[in-house]
Order: sequence, then C-alpha cells, then structure tokens
Amino acid sequence: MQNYDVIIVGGGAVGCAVAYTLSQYDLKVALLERNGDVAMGTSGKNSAVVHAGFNNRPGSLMAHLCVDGNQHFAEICHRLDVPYRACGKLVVGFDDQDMEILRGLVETGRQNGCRGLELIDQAEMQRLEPGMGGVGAMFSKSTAITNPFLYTIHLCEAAMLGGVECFMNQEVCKIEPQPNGFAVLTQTETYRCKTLINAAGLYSDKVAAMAGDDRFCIYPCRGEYLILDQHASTMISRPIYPAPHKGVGGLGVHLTTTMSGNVLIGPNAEYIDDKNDYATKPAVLEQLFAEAQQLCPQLTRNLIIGQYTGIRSKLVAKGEKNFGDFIIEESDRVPGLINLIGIESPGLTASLPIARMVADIIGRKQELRPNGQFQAEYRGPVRFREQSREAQDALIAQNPDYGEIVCRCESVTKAEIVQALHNPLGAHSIVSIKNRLRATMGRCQGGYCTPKIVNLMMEELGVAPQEIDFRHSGDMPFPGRVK
Amino acid sequence: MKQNLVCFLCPNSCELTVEETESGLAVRGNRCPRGEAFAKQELLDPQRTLTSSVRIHGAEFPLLSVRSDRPVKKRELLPLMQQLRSVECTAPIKQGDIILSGVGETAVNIIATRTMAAKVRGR
Amino acid sequence: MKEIVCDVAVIGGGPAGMAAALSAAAEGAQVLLIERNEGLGGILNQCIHDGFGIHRFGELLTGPEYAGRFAQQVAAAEGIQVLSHALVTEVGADHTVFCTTPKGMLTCHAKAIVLAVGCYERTRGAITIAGTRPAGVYTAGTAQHLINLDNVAIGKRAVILGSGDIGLIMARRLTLEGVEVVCVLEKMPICNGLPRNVQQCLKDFGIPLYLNRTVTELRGRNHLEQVVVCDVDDRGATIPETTETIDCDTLILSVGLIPETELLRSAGLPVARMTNSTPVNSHLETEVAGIFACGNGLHVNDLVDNVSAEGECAGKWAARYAAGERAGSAIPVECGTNVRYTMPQTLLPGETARLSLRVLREAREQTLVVRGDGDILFSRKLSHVTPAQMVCVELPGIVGINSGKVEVSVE
Repeated sequence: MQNYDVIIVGGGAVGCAVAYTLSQYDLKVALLERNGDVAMGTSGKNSAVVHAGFNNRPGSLMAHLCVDGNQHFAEICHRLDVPYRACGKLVVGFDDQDMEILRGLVETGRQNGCRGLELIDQAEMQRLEPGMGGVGAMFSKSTAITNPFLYTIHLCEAAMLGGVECFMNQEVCKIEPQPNGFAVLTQTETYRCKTLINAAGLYSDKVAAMAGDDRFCIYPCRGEYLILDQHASTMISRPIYPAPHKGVGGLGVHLTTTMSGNVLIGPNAEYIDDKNDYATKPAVLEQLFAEAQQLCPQLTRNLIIGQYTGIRSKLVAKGEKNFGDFIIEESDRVPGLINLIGIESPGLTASLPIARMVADIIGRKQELRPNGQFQAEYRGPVRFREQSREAQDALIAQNPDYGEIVCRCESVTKAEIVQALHNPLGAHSIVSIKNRLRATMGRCQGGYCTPKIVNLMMEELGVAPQEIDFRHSGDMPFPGRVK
Repeated sequence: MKQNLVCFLCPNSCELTVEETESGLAVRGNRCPRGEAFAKQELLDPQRTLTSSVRIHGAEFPLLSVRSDRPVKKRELLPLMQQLRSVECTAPIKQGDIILSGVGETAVNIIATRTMAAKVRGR
Repeated sequence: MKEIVCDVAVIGGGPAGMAAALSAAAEGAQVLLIERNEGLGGILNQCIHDGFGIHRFGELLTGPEYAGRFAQQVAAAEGIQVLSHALVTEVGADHTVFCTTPKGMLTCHAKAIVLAVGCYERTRGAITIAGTRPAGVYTAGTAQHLINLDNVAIGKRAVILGSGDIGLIMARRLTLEGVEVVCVLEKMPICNGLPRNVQQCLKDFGIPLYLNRTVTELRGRNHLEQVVVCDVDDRGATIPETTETIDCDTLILSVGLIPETELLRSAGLPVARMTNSTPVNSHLETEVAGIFACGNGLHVNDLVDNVSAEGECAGKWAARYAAGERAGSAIPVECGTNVRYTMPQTLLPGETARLSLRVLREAREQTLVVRGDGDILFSRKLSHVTPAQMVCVELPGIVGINSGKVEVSVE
C-alpha cells in the first residue's frame, strides 16, 4: 500500500499540468495513467492550437481560463522546451451574415479580455494568406500553435523530476472511501491518498462515480482530421477557421498549421456512444476535404498523408442547447475529491490555469510549503532538426548517434530515439516514440524508419520482436521471428 | 487439350498457347526459341528457383538472402522452405558461398546471394 | 565542419546511383558516391527474389546479386569514393551538397550532381482508407524489409491491396515464409503486375486476385482484426452492396511509388504532376544546369535494367558537365494520343535519346509515333501497351523542327 497526499487520475494535458503545478509544493503526489504513456487520449488528438478565448461565453470559466492560459503559454513552453509559435489565426467570413458573426466574436473577445483581435478586409486577408477563399476575416494575433504531445510529456517529466511519482498502465477500477481519504485500486496495485484529483477526461464521469459522486455524464463527441504533407505549409501559414455557425458542436472544419509544417483539416463533430471509437469514416473524410477546399481552393488530394480522430468530452448531450462550462471544483458530496470534468476545447490552452485552481483548492485546506526539488525548467532530448548546422556538428562530435538519421522525413536521429526509449516515464511503445519525436509521422508514415526503430527497440531494450509494444503494454504488433 | 501460359523467362511475358497434337506439344505465341522449351517444361515438370533467407550470426542483419543454384520442382518449394528454417550460418559470407549442398529431389545447392561482412563491434 | 570537393557527387547508392558513379568515373571524373546505409545496393538488398537483370546480364538474378555486381565494379573502379552512413539533407542550386554523417556534418562542393534518390511507397493515409489506426498495416516494402532483412514476423493472415509487382511478390514471400495470404485486391480493372508474377506468385500458390475491388475500412483497436472490402465501378466509386469483411491481422499495401523530391525541391526545382518529379532533357539534366537526376527519383520504373541505363546516362553527362561541356537548348516533347507522360520531357537536337513513356489506356497492335511539324520523325510498332508497363525506345537525333516542339503519340 502506497500513501500519497494527492493522487491525480489521468495523464492528459490537464492531469500533467496539475502534477507539474503541485510539484511546486511539499506534497507527496502520484499520477495514474491507464495507457502506457501520457498524452494518449484527447490531449494528443486535437488541433494543437493555443486559443485566444474569443469563442467562449463571457463570464465562464472557459473564457477566463483560456485567456489566462493563452497569455502565459509562450512562457511555459519556453521553460519546458516545448515548441510554440505565435502565428495568429484567421477566422474567415464568406458573406455578410458571417461578417456579422465575426463582429460578434470581436465583441465577445473584448469582454473576455483577449488581446489583438481585429477585423480585416479581403485585401488584407489575401496579403496574410494568399489564395484563401472568403470576403473578409477576423485576425487574432494572440492565437498560437504548439506541440500538444511534448507539452503534456514535458509537464509530466518535469513533475517527475520534481518528485511526483507517475505510474503508467494503471487503470483505476475501484475507489474506496477511507477515513480521511481514498484507496484507489487498479488491476495490480492499491494507492492511498487524502486528496483525489479526477482529471480522467472522457472517463471523468466514471471516476467521479467510483469515488461516490454520480451526478455527471460525459457525452463523447468525435472529431476526425486529415493530415496534409508539409508541402502544404507553403499554402497557409497560420490556422484558418470558418466563421462559427451555431449548433455545429465545434468550431467548424478548419485548416491548421502545425509546428512541424503539416497542415490539419478538421474536425467534424459527431456524438457517439463508444468512448473508444477512434475509427475514421470514409464519408466524413470526403466531407472534410470538400469543406477545406472551400477555405483554401488550391488544396489537392495528393497532399493527404494521414488521418486521426479525437474525442471531445462534452457535458452537453446532442441537441441540448445549454452551455457546458468546465467543472473545476471539490465535490460537495465527496470531500477530498476534486473534479475536473467537461474539459474539452480550450482545455489544452487552459490546462495550467485549471491546475492553478486545483492548487488553490488544496491550499484552502492545508498549508502549501515550497518543494525544494521543484523543476521549474525542463529540457527534453535536443531536437536535432531544429539546430543550426554548427550545433548539429557539435552534437555529432559528442555522440555519433546524432549523425545517424533514422526517420528521414522528420530528420530524427538515432541519438534521439535512444534517449526517448529511456524516457523518465518508462514509456517504450512505438507510438510513444512517435509522439515524442515525430518519427513515423512524416510523408512516408514510417515506411522507411519503422524497421529501423523496431531494430533499435530490440537492441536498446533487449527484447524480442514479440515483446515490442505498439500502443499499449502487451499489444504485440509482431508475433515473433520469421525463422 | 489446349492451354494458355505466360512465359516468364523475360519481361516480354509472351502469351503462349500449348496444344497437344499427334506429333507432341505444339507451342504458339513465343517470340524466341526459349519460349517453346519453357512451355513444354511448364506443362510437364514446372520448375522454380527458390529464393529465401537463412539466419546469420555476426552480420549487419540477422538474415542472409539465399537461393537455389538451379530451379527446383515446383512442389519442392514448401518442403525446402521448411528445411531452410533450421539453417544457421556465421559471417563473413561471400555471395555464391554454398550454404546447403545437394538438397531436395533435384539435389540443388542453396547459395548465398549477398556478401555479408562480419560486423565490427560497436557499429 | 568538414568540406570536400569533387567533380561529380552522386546521391544514392542504389542501382541508379551505382551506375551513374561508374559511368561518371569511366569519363574520368572524380566521383563521390553518397549512400545513407552501410552498404550499397539500396532497395535491391531487400528484394531477395529473382527476376532482375535479364536485359543487362542475360540471366535472372536476385536483387542482392544484381546490386552485388555493380557494387563490385564500384569497389574496383578508379576515381569513386564511397561515403556510406551519410544522409543528404539539402542540395543547393550552386551544387553544394549538405550531408549528415556519424563523423560530423559534411559539405561537398561538386561541379555536377546526380540525384539517384529513389522513391517511397504510397501509404494508407495517402489513399485515405478509413477506420482505426491499428498495428499490422504495412506498405509492401516495409514488410519486405522486416521479413527479409530484420527477421521480424508481421502476422499470420494477410490481405494484399494492390496488384503491382511488389504486391504480387510479397504474396509469394509471405506464403513461403508461412503466412496465409487470403487474397490480392486490385482497385483497377486490370492487374498492374507482370503476367509472369501473376503466374509465379499467385497461381502457383492458389492465391486469388480480385480486380475492381478495394479495401474501404480497417477494423481492430490495437491490432488489425478485419478489413472491409468492396467492389468499385469503372469510375472508381464503391458499390456498397458488394461489401464484405475479411478477418486478417495484416494488410499489405502495394498502391504506388512516389519519387523522393525533397532534394530537388531544395535546389529550387519544380515538381511536375505526371511523374511526381522534375522535368529533364535527354541528358537527364534538370532545369538547374549541372544537376542531373535518374532512376525512381526521376520517375517510377518497372525494371531495374532501365534504372541502371538512366544512371549511366546521367553519370556520363554529369562528368562531361564537370569537364566543361554544356548542353544547348532542347525541344519540348508534348504528350499526344494515349501518352500520360514522357521522360525526358525535352530532347537535345541532333542527339539520340532513350525515350520512356507510359500510356493512359491498355491497347493492342499500336504504333508509337513521334511527329514534328506534322511529319513522322520516328515510329515503332508496339504489340501490347498497358499503363503499368513502361515503353522504352531509342530515338534517333532530331533536327530542324520549325515549330520548336515534337509530339509523341501511341495510336
């Protein structure tokens, strides 16, 4: 039996932000994640946009925390070695009605405290994004893009170095009330804590119910994306959204540039029953491409290199008109349970302000003393492709493995793969290598580097082919040797 | 009896017709004399070159590519594959080295198709 | 950072690059042959089946044997320095080549460059098969590498999508190595592979080939469990009432090859839609003087013999460019009836040239005709043409065209 002051359930952006924030204090904290790595759910399957906060209802937690998060995002990315680019965003209107909606957005943004919003005419829009459809746009200067995998992973790894214990492959299956706290049971272990933080995303309703608070219901709402080749980055240089229309259930199908230069198309919004239904559908992918072509007529199909699905954890059911704000509070039914529920978009942007609120809730109940071990700054493995030639040469002189490029599309070196395989979290699936380094995410989708990565995994981890994990522990992508 | 075949001795892929006549098999459609021989062989006793790999120790890769030095009977392919499963060798190996000799009904040799140097330690 | 100079830098040590290096060295050039892997041979090393080299060597060799013959010549040749474990990341229009190697970053200043960089495989994402993202979905070449070189098994029951030669050859390889191959599916109404491969790879083992049929969806959360397949009509639209599911743990995709164009792009060269690569003249020189291209990085070939021939052409002219020889202006080749593309895209006047082309539609008893100013300059009978089989002819030197262009048709 392991005893903690705080247990965080869920290793998404929010759970990891809470872990990082609490590592500032002299608390014994554990984070439990059901997957083999963090950022395996919604946190890694979204548009990777740092939102400005003009889409959210004034006065809501969403609005307040999004604007707060946006203003501090660049700084945290700098501290934690996370890619970030302040590229701004365009919300494009196609007719007078759209332009009216855009004027409304500027007003909402003003009320929410967003900085840098302006309406621009077609000429100015064309100057910013040549070849774009539409009659005018709202330009949001403070919108940015990031790498949500590295954001989440680095928050978690920094928290670990600060003393937070992180346990992967631990799916919570039972929570028992204890005098002055909880016993949290997984398939293999039991953990005890005084305060339980429910950052379980899509499953936050289930975790709350296990702890004795059964008032919540999460309605999963899928969004599919197409991924375009980095060649598409010559066509657009910042996220391009259509003017939002009511009842769409999301922000509308948009084009988003990513840190790597790929362009994303998506997402649609479709309520589903199965929280694990990540399959894409042929008709939806067709529709996404057609809508993206309206925004950017020069897009061609041969740019498509991949696809994925993310699932929003919505508090509002299909067809309901009411507004579902973030729930960030200590349960009034179960003292010691802090619920973070309904954290959908802009949850990535708002994750650290949400974590700050959690720390404040805990601080109201007990004195929080500083933790001398806290790691305010963190650096992951050096990203070879982002270095100058001189710096690359110096890296190779230190370690010749930097001179061996394994993933050619994304210029990922053997040295980076070896370091990622020995990450602090102990995550070592093919997908966790991909999420950390972008290896296999390029235009050949791992065609060239998959065998090389598999060989490195066998060599570095000392395992046989059948012991390699694809996405989850023990999922066995390879049955063994050929002979 | 009339049968259609595709000659695979070269990429021309001649479409052959073989007919049984009183004077033996008559082949049509071949653009070179080798096509006629091929058609007769294919009908009477089809043969294939076996290509595969065997385990190798101490080389850049764990497998060494090999082939039969002559075609084998088609029905021998799978039994010979089974035999190759238990074969192991050690680098260095030169292309053309005999890995197994005189196997199968046709007593073919299995030869290496690639030169594999012994792996330098640390590389 | 290390800097070196050479007459001709050849990028890529596969069949095209080795042939280019040899022919450049034969012209007296000092050649740097840059290869990203440990050994030469490129993709041929994983093509352990036979069928290579009938035109060039008059015998059927396996891929490693074909590569080995060239590698031996390279090792014996005067004037070729092989730089292995070196990945070229950028080529400048000024003939600078930037390499990453375990010994450090290296910049090579060459008088001429031959790009022999090969191609990559079209993926599941590129053809947008919907469904889950499970393990067990491989392009044919990746599967081939894992099975033939790495000794890693990929599954027990496979479906193959795409009837190109690589797909057919993988059907046989998987069968021989103990994997059950359920079927090969081809979206087009005709098989894209050579007839001999249909016989040796499918019929020999009783593997069915279904034409006008494709995979529409993948199922299975972590590992592939099922593919959904469906007939397609002549326009490529799916016919829902023909849908069925096939249980399998492996899907092999052999759905096309795409030339590598990153280095061409870095040198500022355009990429044309039909070949997915850059246009060249009959010396295989690109629009940037002194940069030559050949092999599957220039356009996707069916036969390695042709790749080697292109390499020899590019290497020879790169060496001559390095020695100061310059090509004049060239005559554009226009695609006429039933011609999808030609390579080269322009012809140098008065010089013989190897012309490769692909047709748009299958046809029998055709004539390839080259016209200039309305006159027939060259013609050749072709008994059978299909889009999957490249047509290759030697053209005599063409001079005195008033209109400044020629047209190639298959009619």
